Amino acid sequence: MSIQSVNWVKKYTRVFILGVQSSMEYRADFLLTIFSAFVPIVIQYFLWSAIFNNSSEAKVYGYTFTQMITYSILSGIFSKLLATGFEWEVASDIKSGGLNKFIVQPIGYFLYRISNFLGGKFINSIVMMFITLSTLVVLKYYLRNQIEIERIFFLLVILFLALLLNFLIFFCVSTLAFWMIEIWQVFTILGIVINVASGGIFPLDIFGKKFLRVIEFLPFKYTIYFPINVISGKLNYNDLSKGILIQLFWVVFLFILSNYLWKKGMKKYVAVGG
Amino acid sequence: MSDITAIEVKDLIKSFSYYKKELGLKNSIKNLFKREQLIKEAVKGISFNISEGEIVGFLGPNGAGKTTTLKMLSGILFPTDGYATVLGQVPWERKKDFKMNISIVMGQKSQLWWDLPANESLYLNKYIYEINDNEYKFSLEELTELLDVKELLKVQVRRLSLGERMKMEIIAALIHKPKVILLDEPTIGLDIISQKKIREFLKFYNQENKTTIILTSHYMKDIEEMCKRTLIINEGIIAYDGELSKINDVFGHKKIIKLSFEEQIDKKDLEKFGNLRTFDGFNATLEVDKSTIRSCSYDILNRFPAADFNIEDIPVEEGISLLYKRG
Repeated sequence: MSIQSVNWVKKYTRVFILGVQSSMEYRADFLLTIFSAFVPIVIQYFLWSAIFNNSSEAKVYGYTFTQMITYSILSGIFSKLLATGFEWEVASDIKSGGLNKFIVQPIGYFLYRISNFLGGKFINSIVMMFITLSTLVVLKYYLRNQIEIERIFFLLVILFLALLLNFLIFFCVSTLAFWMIEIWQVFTILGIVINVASGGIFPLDIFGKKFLRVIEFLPFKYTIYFPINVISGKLNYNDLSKGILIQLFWVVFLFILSNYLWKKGMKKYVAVGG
Repeated sequence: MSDITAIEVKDLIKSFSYYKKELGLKNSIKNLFKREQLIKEAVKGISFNISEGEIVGFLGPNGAGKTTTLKMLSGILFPTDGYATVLGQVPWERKKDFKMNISIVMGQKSQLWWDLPANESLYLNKYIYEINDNEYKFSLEELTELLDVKELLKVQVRRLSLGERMKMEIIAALIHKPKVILLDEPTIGLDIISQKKIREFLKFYNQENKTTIILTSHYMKDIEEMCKRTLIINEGIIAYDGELSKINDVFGHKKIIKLSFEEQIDKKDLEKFGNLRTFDGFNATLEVDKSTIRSCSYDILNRFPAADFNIEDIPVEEGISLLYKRG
């Protein structure tokens, strides 16, 4: 490698490390993040208990009670694992002129953001993966759920791609701040909509066939719904590899889109003045 | 100071468009459909050259166009029209080579990581600017010593005082030894001692390293102490370019005579000599043409029972505010 590319790698590695350090700076916050993954799971447990108790059939929307609870647990964990938050920082960089330093310094904003994001996720992800793994073991061997535990390697790859995908989705969303002054409400609403469309709250097939056909053409379901279906054995190996290819397609597509949007936004930013 | 040009600016113009909105809900609704677009010219065609190693002050009231000019020179803003080079490069092309050799410090905007100690931010800059270990160590040692913040390097930036933070900002901006430094209000909000320390440091740094420095301020003292050359900017144009102490040459060579008398004097008798600025019977300030200062003084001393007599230049502040008004 040339000196230039070595320097380049060192630069963004350093940003990654800073992201790791920042994430550990607030330990209480760190623990709360992990804890907060379980609150929705508890709520879902009570919700589905009520629904299944009042239903005359053993399956609701094609799911047995344990399948539904398995989905809720995994979606709760994966939602937290993939959760962003940097979009607020991007918006405030745009609003308050924080972008200026990235224009003036020899460092790229996109690469900075993604290195920092992955760094911030690093420790959190390791902890989350341990939780996921132990959950899967409990679900499979104690609660006798269908879990394809030998697919764990695929799951890791798929979740990493899902992490990139979610980053890119929210990076595109964050560029809205170039054109909209009051962005905070928009972020909150989009955050919820995207989470629902990703399957982060309910399995997507309970919304019906029409909804599924639309969602097929969007990247969202490849962040949460797809990984859960892989590990719960709903998909065969054929669908699994097809899914990974579609994930890759979306990563490339959204990478190009986010760079395009960013360039457009920067043009506006530069004309107006940070 | 050498004669090599570090910064060249020619007919630089920057205008912003914005919307006007009248007060009230009705107009808010009206604005949703039809907005009146207005254009404000923040910088209206300025030209100047700055040589390598020079330290130049931009002085001007709020909204004069100082920050806008610095933003264009650092590449943050595209100009509407005109041309500029810094170190032979066009700033808004944002080439890496350009970025590696300049630095901008904005008094109100931090480039440090808020949640981490300052040394983490500085260490990131080491990588951003690709500084090697020895050079980094040496620069950091030197700068923290000079600014007396060595013990504070490990403190979270959010816990630093404003003055301490500013010193860290300056270190972060200098760690890669830029050839041109742009400082926007580096002393804003600081107490007098911190202001003085930063002024002294910048002056020293400029002499040691021959770094070209532009700084903006609306504190005259900043500029007066550090900069030989001052550009006064007002309403987007350069109103004055030169030594600050000579600013009054622009205004028809007037001097001020301050007088105290042993007994009360009639106002009318004094008014003949020139423009009477203050008068209370025993004390007076008189504005007199430079050319007639000798004869005036002679007459005054002869005719009145003067207890105290002083000839002074018109204060620089006054010259500046006159310039502002004229602009």
